[in-house]
Amino acid sequence: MKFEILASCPTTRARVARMTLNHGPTLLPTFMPVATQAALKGLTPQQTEALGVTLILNNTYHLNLRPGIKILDQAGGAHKFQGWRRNLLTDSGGFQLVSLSQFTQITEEGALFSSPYDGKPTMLTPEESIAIQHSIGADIIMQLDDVVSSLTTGPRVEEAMWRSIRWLDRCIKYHESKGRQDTQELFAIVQGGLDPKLREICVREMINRKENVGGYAVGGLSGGEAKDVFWKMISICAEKLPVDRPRYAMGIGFAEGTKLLDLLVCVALGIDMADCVFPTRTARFGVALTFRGPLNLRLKHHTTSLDTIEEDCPCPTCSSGTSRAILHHLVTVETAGAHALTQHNVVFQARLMGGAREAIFAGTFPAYLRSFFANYFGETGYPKWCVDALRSVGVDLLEGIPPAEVKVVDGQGMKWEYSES
Amino acid sequence: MLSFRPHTNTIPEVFGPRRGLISFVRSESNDCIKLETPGLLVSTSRGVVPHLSRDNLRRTNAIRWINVPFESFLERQPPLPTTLPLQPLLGFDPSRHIVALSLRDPNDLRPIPPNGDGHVSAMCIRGVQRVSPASYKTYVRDSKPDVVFALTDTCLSAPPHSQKRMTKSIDRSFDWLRNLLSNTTGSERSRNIFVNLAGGGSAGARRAFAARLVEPLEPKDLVDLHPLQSLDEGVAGYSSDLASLRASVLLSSHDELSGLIKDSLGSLSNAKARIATGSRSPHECLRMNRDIGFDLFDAQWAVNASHWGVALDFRFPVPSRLRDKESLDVGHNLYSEGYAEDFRSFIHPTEDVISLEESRCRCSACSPSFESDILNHSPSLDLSASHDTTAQPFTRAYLHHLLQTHEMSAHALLMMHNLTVADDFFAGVRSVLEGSPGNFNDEIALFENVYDESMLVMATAKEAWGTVDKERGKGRLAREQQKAAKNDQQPVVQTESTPQ
Repeated sequence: MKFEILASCPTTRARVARMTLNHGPTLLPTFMPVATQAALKGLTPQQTEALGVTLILNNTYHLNLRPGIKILDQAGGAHKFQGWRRNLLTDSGGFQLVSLSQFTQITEEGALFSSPYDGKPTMLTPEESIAIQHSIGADIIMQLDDVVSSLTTGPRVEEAMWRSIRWLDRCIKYHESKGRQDTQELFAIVQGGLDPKLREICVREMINRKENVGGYAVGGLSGGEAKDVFWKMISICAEKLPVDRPRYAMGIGFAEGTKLLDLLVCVALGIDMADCVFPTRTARFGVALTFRGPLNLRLKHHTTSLDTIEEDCPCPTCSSGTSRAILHHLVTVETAGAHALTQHNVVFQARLMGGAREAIFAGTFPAYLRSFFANYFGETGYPKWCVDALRSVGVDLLEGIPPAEVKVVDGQGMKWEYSES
Repeated sequence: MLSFRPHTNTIPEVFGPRRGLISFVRSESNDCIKLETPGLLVSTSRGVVPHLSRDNLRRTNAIRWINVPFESFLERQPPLPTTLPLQPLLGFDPSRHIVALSLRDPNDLRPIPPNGDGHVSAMCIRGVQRVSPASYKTYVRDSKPDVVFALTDTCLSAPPHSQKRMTKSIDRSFDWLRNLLSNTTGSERSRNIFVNLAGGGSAGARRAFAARLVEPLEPKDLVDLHPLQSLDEGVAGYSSDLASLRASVLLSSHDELSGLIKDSLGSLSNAKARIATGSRSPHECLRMNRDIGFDLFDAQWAVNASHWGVALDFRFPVPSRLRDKESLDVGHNLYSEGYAEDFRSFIHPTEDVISLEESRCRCSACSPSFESDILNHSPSLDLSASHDTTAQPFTRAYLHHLLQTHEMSAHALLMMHNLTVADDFFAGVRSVLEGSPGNFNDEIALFENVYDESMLVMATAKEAWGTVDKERGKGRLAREQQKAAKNDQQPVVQTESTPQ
């Protein structure tokens, strides 16, 4: 991999970089749409690429079950199978093991689980996870980590942290024994729960493996922990991780509506990539994302609107003049409606990140953040955790707002559009 | 302004296959759209071709003539296309697409309250709406389609239908056509009206309706409809709705159906365009062409194939290598396990068979290409774009995977492919009519022999689709967990350090 930092924000810890992998360059920071089962739901690879996406995520757990390694090997890997010619990232399969499996038992050897499809007991070891990811052939692959819910307390958290380090070593060993280190980048995943000390230990240990690792992910932060704690863990890790490696915040933003903010705030804290099902999933439920907040196109007051979702949006839906009214007519009834919104939401997310990159490059990132928050939240009020997190890296969201108008709210920062009745 | 010109050297008496050209000139822009006939028309559902986003629709050259049933828009008053005309509302390309409006979807045979003298019952998501001829006229005026299908009284109740009912049917249909044509100035009056050949399953009624169309108008009507001398003069063509016709007749053999259509067309001009909707199979299209002669067919069978996971794979005329085969499937049920490891594209079995006779399918699934214009969200940062648009065909194995995992992109790919196959099918018909018209009947007989007309593959696929749909729905995981719970599995994550 080639990793070049093009510019760093003088105020925050954000940076713009170009990461060149086996299937071409990807500019960072970026958001990765999730193509769980080797497809971005409803879109062809041609459509996805046209939206300006250069990196997508496939889920190892799902692909291992269907279509399975045998088929992927025959196809020559997931790129060829799904027709995607740009960059691909796979997770280790560990997270779904725990969340989707009926029964999972973690041992030093690996994770023993029973498949929800046929109940067969199967062992997923670090080596096995890497082997599966080799067959899938993604440009970035993830170590198998001992993932523990962020709400877990007690000695289990530290146990998982140390085991994740040991499993990282096994992943590295297996990965290099197959000679794949030049074609597929292995990322380490920092664990340690919500304990700053454990996080620091983990980061330190994993930095020791820096030469064998292409990048670092921050894991274990999707269990519904308080946003307050969430950003602090991200911050601790990002601050200490090496600047010359990409940083990936995994599965952030447990509560659906906050994922946009999560990534933007994380970028300011020093994160380069995050994945998220939210934009694509919410599209299928009729919600369009805009810089002024989400639009629930199922609501009655959109039935007459001939406006596009967002003026100046270059996505295929908006640029062809698709009105909110016709989208209302289609969403949740015709798949074509889901596709139209999916295209828009992916482009929205890409524009958000593209704008961030431009701003960081130009040295105007703090202004970009302030402007985004002002437009998105307007009178609703800024989530306190965002204000705090950004303040910690020198950005005052409230700057320039008359004290009387300042509105800061507790909570996640979810924003919904409500019916006017 | 729509014009249909049959190629005079192919036009038979009244009945028989004909080749022609439909031209549509858009006065505002001078766009001229040409459609070789016999050709394909595509119907929409709620204003979209099912599964196709606008960019995918534009990638599908097979889509030229688009039928839009107005009824889905009745869920709101005023209906949406009256606030913004159909072309911009639905995002079709005025330089490429002819948009035709009907009230109802002719392939929707669901039971519905009957029509009345002053209204047609139409179906929208909020239930049945009654539409008067006057309302329909304003809808037509405001939504500005390129072509309009006049209101028609179709009996959707079970046959047989009494003579009284049939008389009412043709009276109403006549009145509604007259209403559509009346009291409009020359420029307003759409010259592009198609009339459905009313009379259902009654030969007598059908002949009577056709006779009335060409009859000289009553004095009063001559004033209202000036300068028309008969209703037929205001009509650009005739449509036959095979779906409801089949349902109106007790014994719906090809001879019976084509006989009834001939009863209508017999006294009408053979120089006007003929549309057939609701054909059941490509085989039926061929026979209808052979015995009657149509210019546009819809291909609901191609649309259904896309819904149900079938990639159509047939050609007309039958290619050399298949001419001695029998009862081949018209397509591939990609749900079938046999395709799980089949990495060929939808159509061609082997590369070496591609020849002039069997060119590669040019749809976006078999001949995809990446866009050369890709959105760039941070232009200041150099990300040198790839100018190579080459892409590999989608494979049967990948579609099998998408279908089994309930992924929507499967249906988008299949729709683009199947409409293209249908379009190519009609191109094949045209090429035989042009090059060797004397062989047409033999080619049809061969096609009927080689390809399974019952299209069993579609029924099998539909069943598989139903199974996956049920299994993949909401609550699937809960059902699986319940099943596993019966095997005494405990939903817990255990580690060595956790006390058991």
